[in-house]
Amino acid sequence: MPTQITIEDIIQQTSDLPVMSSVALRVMREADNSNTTAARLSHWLGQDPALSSRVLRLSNSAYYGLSRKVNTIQDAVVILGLRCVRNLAMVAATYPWLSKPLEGYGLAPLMLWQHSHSTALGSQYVAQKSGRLNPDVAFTGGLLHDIGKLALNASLDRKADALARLADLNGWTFVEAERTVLGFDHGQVGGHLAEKWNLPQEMVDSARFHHEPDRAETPSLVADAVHVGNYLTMALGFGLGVDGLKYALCDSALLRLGLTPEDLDYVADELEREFWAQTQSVGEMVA
Amino acid sequence: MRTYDVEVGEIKTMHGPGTFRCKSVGSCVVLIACDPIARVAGVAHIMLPAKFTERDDDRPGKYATTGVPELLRQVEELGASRDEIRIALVGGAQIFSFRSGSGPDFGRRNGEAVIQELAKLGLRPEAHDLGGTKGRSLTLDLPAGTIKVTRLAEGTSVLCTFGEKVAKAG
Repeated sequence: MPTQITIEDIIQQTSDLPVMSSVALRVMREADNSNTTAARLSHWLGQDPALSSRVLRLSNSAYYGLSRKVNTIQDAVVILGLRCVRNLAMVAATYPWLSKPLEGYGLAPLMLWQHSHSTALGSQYVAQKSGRLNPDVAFTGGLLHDIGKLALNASLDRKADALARLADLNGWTFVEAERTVLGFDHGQVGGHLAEKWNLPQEMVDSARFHHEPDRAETPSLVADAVHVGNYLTMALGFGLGVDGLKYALCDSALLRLGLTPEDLDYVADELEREFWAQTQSVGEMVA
Repeated sequence: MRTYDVEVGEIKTMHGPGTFRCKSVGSCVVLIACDPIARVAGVAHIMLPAKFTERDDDRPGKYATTGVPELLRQVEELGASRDEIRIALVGGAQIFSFRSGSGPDFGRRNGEAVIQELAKLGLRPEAHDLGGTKGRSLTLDLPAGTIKVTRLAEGTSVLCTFGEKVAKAG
């Protein structure tokens, strides 16, 4: 009888799996602490000069249209704000591995990055419109929602088209097809990876349940916001892979967020505007 | 030869020869207007049925209500004749969502809105590839007027060649 493969086996077998920057995580936690200061954030970012320099480059991108050059992280915090620098640190930390191709999912270079950044922005706007959760936490949840694909990519090699057809034939979502064929879906693998990285519980939940937020034992508004942000990103076609739109939208997530379908028109409209304004210029600056 | 990429919300037109490309189309509807005799075509990548804010920085191609008449205006300005304009629609994919019909249903609503706006101008699509759950990409080549649609995990097929009748008649 064959030995059952576990999620941990999948992760162990993935040789080029990224490691989340501990400095970026520390910066995220610092920024989410209401007692933090520009000096403390600057101190922590200073522990990783490469990350710090990417954050400065991003701060000086045309998107922010600053009249003078930002030379220090402390300046960036004062001018752009703590929340903005927090999110820039997460973007700078994740871009190097989110921008790589994932052939298993049919994603060319930069496509996962575009998809993830759009989902981050979408989740942030969903959270703002909802008013029931922190938009920055939703942003990070959106940015990291597909980390499970990084680990499952190799297992999907040459199987993805078959999985998509299987989903079509059986009326399954792509995560149902993944679970049937591979034993796990990319959300489960992403949740496991998020735990290994010691990410906050909201990030673990949003990685694990972003396609099926009703499966969470305790409903998570962050998973709900990421679910909707991801839905909008797929609808707009940003970074679509072989899985296409083979997912289900969960009505109860909208109810928990207090959003109507009409609200989603509004958020989609905003998301499209910001995506073009931010995603490409940010990508160019951080590359 | 020119190649124009048409992103979400954009309208692009040309007098052939040349190629239009739309990559990664989800629930948006790509509207193609082509006059093969005049060798003029245009493409609008429409993402929502109608504009609902008063912002003035929006491109008309984002919405069916503004994108459809604007595309027609632009191709006619380039020399297309209303009587010869042929129309095709591609996209409008949907998530398995809201079988109850209570949801946003972007794909279906976009398709319906574009068809409705075309009808106001006395036009109707003669070729379409709408709905489903797959992302699509497409190309339109001028002067042949050939539209090729690629569905990820399925492959590429020719939706139509608007210039065929012209070539045969000639």
